[in-house]
Amino acid sequence: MLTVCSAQAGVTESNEKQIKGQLKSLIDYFAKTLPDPARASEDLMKFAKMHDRRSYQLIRFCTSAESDYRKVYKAIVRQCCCTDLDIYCVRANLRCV
Amino acid sequence: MTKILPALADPSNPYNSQHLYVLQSLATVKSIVLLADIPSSSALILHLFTCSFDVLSGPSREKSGEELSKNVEYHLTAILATMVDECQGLPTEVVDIILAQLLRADPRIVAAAPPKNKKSAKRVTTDQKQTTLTMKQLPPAYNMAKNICNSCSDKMVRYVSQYFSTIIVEASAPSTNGISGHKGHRRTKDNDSDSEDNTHRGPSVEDLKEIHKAHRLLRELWRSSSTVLQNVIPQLEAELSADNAHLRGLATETMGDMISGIGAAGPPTAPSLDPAAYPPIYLNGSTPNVEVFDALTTPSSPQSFSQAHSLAYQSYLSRRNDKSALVRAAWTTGIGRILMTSAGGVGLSPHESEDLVRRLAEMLEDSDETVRLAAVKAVGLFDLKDIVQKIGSIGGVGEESSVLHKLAERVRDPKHMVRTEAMTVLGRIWGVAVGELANGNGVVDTLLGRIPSKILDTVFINNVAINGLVDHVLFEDLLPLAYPPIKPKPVVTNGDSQRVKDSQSSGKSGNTSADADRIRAERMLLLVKCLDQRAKLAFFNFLSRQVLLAKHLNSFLGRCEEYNVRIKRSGISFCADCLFCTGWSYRIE
Repeated sequence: MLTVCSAQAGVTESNEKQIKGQLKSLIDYFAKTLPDPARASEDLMKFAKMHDRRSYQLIRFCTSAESDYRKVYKAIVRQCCCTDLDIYCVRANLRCV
Repeated sequence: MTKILPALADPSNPYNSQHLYVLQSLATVKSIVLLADIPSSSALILHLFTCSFDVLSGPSREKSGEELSKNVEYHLTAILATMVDECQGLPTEVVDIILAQLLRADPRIVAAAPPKNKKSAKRVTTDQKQTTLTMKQLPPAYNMAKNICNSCSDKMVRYVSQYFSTIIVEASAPSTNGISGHKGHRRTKDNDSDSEDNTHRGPSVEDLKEIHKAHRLLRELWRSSSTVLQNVIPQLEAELSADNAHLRGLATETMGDMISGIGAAGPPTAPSLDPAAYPPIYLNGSTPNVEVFDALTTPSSPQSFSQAHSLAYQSYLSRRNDKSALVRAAWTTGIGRILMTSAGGVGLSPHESEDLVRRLAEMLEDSDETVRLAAVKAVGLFDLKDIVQKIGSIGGVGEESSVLHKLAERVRDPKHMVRTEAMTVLGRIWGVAVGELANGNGVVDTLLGRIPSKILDTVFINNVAINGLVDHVLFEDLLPLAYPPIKPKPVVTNGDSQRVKDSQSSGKSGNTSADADRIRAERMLLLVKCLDQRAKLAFFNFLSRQVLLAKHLNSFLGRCEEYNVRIKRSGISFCADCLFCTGWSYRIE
């Protein structure tokens, strides 16, 4: 939340390009590790635009060092239920678990 | 004739006992034979047979659903058997009808027939999970046809071989040079002479459908009255050398199914091996698998095919070198089924069994991917006990020539289909063997212990698709996410109330989260114990990659949010979203 708030506070036009660039490079990084990278990067871009905050929260639960196993497992299961991009999300999650 | 027989179908009819008396007298006195002496009796005979079978399939249609007494079936069978024995020549339609009854075992045909009312429709569904709906006994009409064939087998041999030769020869016209007279119909000889002119004509679509149906019938006939097929087996053997690969494949499938005693309803449902099951499966049978007896799908072969028809058996075995991949794949599936069912319950000698397992191993290295895939799938159908006893009889993953070793090699197969299937099967096998491995079972350890190493070694190939597969197998089979199964209700510290709730789940009562963690940790330790040096490297690398990816994923989320905030530029919705998020975080706890 803090990072986003600070982003909200002092963002300019050039920052927008920078953010977009960083997003793209991160997406490319993930897509390289998955089979069918072209489709993966498209889907990840769709996920980014979808801005489903619940998904973000679930993913954060998965990767957080403070969640116990049960929390992580439930977060993965709920993610599978709610998004269409579940294959990639789950894969990405599983690698982070 | 026309009135009494149909009336037998309704036992609540007031004249029922009179009907039964008539039936009984016809059977004992055998006066029904006079029917044959009436001129143009074939229509009447046909009517007699049709009515009898309709009567016996009647109970499922009657509203009262009252079962007919066994006497009716017994007497009708006696009458029809007498007719078959004494008639000079039964009309072919009658033979058709008798044989069609055997196809009542085929759920496809029964389902296709329109149900008369709800009751018959219910009996037709083949839902494997509902054991009360599976057929424990064969349908009475089927039984009657079977008894007729068995009791008048000399006559039936002739009729049956005529029936099949007309179908098979018409359809596989260019190929059947090997059929001799066999007391066959004159029609077959005409077809043979035609066939030499029509070398290029393959079977048409309708012919193929007929052939498929005939082959399903053959399977049922073998299961019910194998003596009747004495003359048909050589015809089937000839079909194995047909020119048309599709026909050869069909004949191979049919013969394989016959040897395994699988009928028209198909093989039994494969045992579902769950690598995430807790407690895990043990070989000493302490967790008994409840096998539902289904009269239609339980494989049973009345006699040993290889001993009764050894020439045909040898020619079947030679199909492994067939030039068409379709036939080889069908052969491989057949061999898998034969091994799984132990030749339909008859049993295979150890020498024979080992021979077949070796052939299966060879098929795993075939040049065509459909054959390799069929071989991998065949191994996937075995349950743990069979894998250890049958497949493992020629060695485990460590031994070069064994099935398990070659299966492990398949995870590096150039074709993705084969790779996926092989990894899934291997992972699942290890996943269910965990119980025995944890117990220190030496045999299982030698056979299956090296599986995780083989799987993780593929990471070194550095192929993204393979890595994806390894991830999948790791989290589904080797270390399932859902292991041990987490109860849906939150864990309550009050032990008593938990025991009441868990009265139905076995061995999980009082399973606190600490226990679950311990169980999971034990499994992970077992996995690492099974890994060799190189695979350990891969595994630990995997773990450290997790941390890295977690960091990247978090920053990805951060970027996503920044990006969207820029697009949306709306402070109000942003705050609302934040509150929403924090609300969810409490929910998950």
